[in-house]
This record gives sequence, C-alpha cells and structure tokens, in this order.
Amino acid sequence: MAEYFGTNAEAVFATMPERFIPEKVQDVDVTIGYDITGEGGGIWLVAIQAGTLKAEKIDSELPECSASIKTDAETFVGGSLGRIDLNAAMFAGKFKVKGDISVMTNILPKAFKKFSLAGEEQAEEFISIKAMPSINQRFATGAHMGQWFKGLMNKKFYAAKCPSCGRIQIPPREVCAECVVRSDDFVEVGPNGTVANMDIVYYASPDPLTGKVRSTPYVTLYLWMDGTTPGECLSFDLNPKDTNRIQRGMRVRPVWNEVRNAGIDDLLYFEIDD
Amino acid sequence: MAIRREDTADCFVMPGKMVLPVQYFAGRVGSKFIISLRDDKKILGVKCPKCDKVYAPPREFCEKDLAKLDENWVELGNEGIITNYTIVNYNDRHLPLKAPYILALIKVDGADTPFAHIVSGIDPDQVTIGMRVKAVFAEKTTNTILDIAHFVPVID
Repeated sequence: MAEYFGTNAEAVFATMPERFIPEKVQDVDVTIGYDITGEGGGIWLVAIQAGTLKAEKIDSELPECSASIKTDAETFVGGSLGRIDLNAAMFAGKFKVKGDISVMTNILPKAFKKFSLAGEEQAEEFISIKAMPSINQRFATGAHMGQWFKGLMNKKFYAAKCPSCGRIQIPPREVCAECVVRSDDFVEVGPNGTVANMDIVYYASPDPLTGKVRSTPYVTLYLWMDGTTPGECLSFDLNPKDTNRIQRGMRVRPVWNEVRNAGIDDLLYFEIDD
Repeated sequence: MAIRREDTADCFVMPGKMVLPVQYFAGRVGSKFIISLRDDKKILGVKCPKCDKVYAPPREFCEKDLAKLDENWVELGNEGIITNYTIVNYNDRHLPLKAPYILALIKVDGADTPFAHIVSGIDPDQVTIGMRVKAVFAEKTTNTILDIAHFVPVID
C-alpha cells in the first residue's frame, strides 16, 4: 500500500472507530462516500447514525450519500493529517465534495478526533479566518479637497501653494506640513505631466473603493504635473492600453470621464501623450 | 485664488467603500478559546498565576506583570453581567444584525475582563448596566466569536 506522510488512506479509515466521539453525534444521520483515486486509493463508505459508526471499504460504485468526496490518496492523507490545506486543494480542484458540504465542515470535525501518526501527539487545531469585509464609507472633502474635486469636474487640476516656502501640494492640503502654516492659496497646474515613477501591479486585489477585482497588470503612475514643485507627485492610474509602453520620463495627458460629478472617477486615467 | 476653511460652497461628500481581503490567525490561545465555544459550548479564560486576574477572551501574557498565562486555563460561566453597552442604530452589510441592536461589554462569571458581544431578546430601551445575561450558542458554527450567537437577559 502506497504511503503518504508516513501513513496511508487505509489507516485513516481503520482508526475511525477509536477516534469516533459518539456523544457528539447523537442526533446525526449521514452517509459519506469517499472515492479515493491513485495508489492506495479505493472506495469507502462511512455511515454515522445516532451515535453509531460504520466505516467500510466497498468493491462497488458509491451509492447515493449525504456527501461524497472525490480526491487522490495523497491529498486525502495529507488533509486528514492537517499537512495539506483542504480549502486550497478544493480551489485547485484536487478535493471535490458533492452533496451537503456542511457534513464536511460541521459534522466530521465534531464526530472524530483528528487523525495523527502513531506515536505522534494529536495535532493541535488552529483557527484561521479568511474574510472580505466590505465597509461602506462617506468621505467629506472639506473646503480644500472640495476645490480639487470641483476642479476635476471642470477638467482642471487645482493645487495648494504654501505662502511660506512656495511648495505646491497636489492634491491640495490645508496645511503645509513642512512650514506648518495654512496653505489657502490655489494655483492651476497640469493638465499634462511627466512620469516620475510607477508601480506595475500584478496582484489581483480588489479595488478598495468598489470591491471589484482589478484586472492585472495595472499601472499606478507618480506624476510631476506641469507647474508643480519638484518632488510633489500626483498618484493616478495609467490607461491599460499603455501598460506595455510606459517608461519613466514620458509625457502623459489626462483622459476625462464624460459624466463628471466632482468625484474621483471624473478622471479616468492618464495616457501617453504622443 | 484663495480658499478658507469656512468656504463650504464646494464641499462634497463622496461615497466610498473599504473592501480588503483579510486573514486572521487566532493563534494557539485564541484557537483553543474558539474551539471550546464551538465543540464544548464553554467559555474559557486564563488566570494569571501572579495576580489572579482572569482574562476572557484569553491572552498569552498578563498585561500587568507579563506572566505567561497559556498554561493556566479556567472554565468560566455561560452567564455574566453587562458592564457597558451601545445601541447600533444604522444598517450596513458588514454588520451582523439589523439595527437597532445592542452591542454590550459582558463580563462572564469568573472573569475579570469583559468582551463585546450582541445582546438580543430585549428592547434596546430596556438594557441596563449590571443586567444579567447568558450566552446562547450558535447552532451553525463558524469558527468565530459568533459561535456564541448572542447573549439574552436572564429572567429570574
């Protein structure tokens, strides 16, 4: 019999009676079919009924079960030992569950102590939770960022100019953090700019503003807008059509949304100014 | 052009969203706490061997004397008292219940620290500090603190 992780699929089923916890499943009536492929595989049928357990290898096809599992022997043994992440195996299509998945997630963990290698202490269970929280927010612009968004609506870029050092902040801020004075003066900059730097992003993360997964790769530009002071960059997306051509030092121009309501999507992206 | 803070003519409110994939690892101590809620329907805490303070939820070290606590588990009651509360009055999809609902700090019997949980089965107007509540465990477990579904008032 083929060995995986120092044991085999047969042993997982053979140890079921000693790992079984009858008092946890008094009101449970389920059958679970296992179709385990590859060397050391086979067909097993496990029935849990009112605190009793029957686990047997069968020669025929799987009958109708509450849940049936199809996987290969290595994934099955690794998953039972906790060496293989079954969620990941499921995504990879290596571990398939048909029928009632709650049998897998709720009943089996209750019904059995974890399978472990002989002589090894029972593996400790750890809790890890993956989630995608979506929290609605409202952002109040205030007067300074308000000017910025009003500018976008009119296809203009407004930046704040520090009355003390002359530094231009884009998007505008209320205070120059270097001089610690209010920067209430505004100047129009752009609309074109020069690429100072860029990020090329390959990680398909959701856009935090919409929750939609972005298609990759996408490029975020750091732009010296015409008329700004050196080092003050505006960060914005690049038109995806230019992803393969973009270089530092290139000139770019803004592409505006046709419908503009003083929001960040008034400006679609920048593209190479040929 | 100059703009003052008081110039509110062009102030806008933008709707936004914060959607980020997160992975939370409960750790050895946190895992044991959640597994106990899930499998045994018991609330566990840890007791500091130096100062006798009982933490629920459990943590690995005592905040006062930095003693290691994770060997010193104690079983706590499924009932406790509300030490403080707030009423959640708005609806949003990331929230567990429809507004209004009570989010309370509950100190379970035997513990010295409270933790936040939902109190149901009572009108939000009726909740008081010091009220006795008991845990109702979830039928469908999720490996989270919501393996306690909520607390309900204890009616004598």
